Amino acid sequence: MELLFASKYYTSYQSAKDRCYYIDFGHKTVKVSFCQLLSLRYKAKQLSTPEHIEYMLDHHDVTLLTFCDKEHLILLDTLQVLDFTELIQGTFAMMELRSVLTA
Amino acid sequence: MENIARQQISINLEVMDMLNQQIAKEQHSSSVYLAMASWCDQKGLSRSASFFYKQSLEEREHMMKIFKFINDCGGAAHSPEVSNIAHEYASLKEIFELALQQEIAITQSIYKIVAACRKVNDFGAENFLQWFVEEQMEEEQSIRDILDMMELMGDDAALKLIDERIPKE
Repeated sequence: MELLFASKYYTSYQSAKDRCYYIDFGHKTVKVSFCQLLSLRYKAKQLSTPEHIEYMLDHHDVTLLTFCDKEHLILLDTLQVLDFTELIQGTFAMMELRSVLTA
Repeated sequence: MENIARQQISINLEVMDMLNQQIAKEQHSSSVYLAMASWCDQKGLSRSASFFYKQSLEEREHMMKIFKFINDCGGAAHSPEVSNIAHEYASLKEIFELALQQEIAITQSIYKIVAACRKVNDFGAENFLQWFVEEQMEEEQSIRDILDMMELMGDDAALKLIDERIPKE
């Protein structure tokens, strides 16, 4: 597994051999396909909108994130949501960088 | 280090995001035309109603075309939510003026995506969008022609007479 990006709480890896990605959430490591990673990117964007952050702060400061067709469920507080968004942005930025370097 | 992401997606992510936003705009446009068709139908303006039913269908087809393209490229298309559809209009002329404004907004949006494609060298997406560039020219022209006809007939012309001159397409 090759490291892609590490945020404060989470880390992403890619495995060329398995043709998939791994996200280490601290308490568990989850295997995701590229499509599932795209879905997480979409969810991270939705969760990090100012409206959603404001909603979280007004409602117990937690949100549920389901992914991989509801196979996984994690509970995130506001800081974790922001950190998760950073992980996803960093992961895709690293992929783009590789794309430029290997072009 | 192998780039496995590129093997799974052939569209730039920034362009994909913009195309997803375009999906929402096309679907919104389709719903607006449906509301316009309903208004015309209720007023007995059958030719205008048919025109907008057809426009609504075309916008949905545009939306589906983009939707399919994103998924075919290995991206993730998102089904849009539609809200804020007005159902009240002051006149038939206002409807066509709003329709032209809407088409112009869609054209500008397409141009922005084409510009983004050029910036990131996404030639596949740019090539795909060329059909939309041409289509938007035709859409704008057809509505502009109707507004010109209304202008020629003057404000005193009976609505039914104007309606009879709306192209069947």
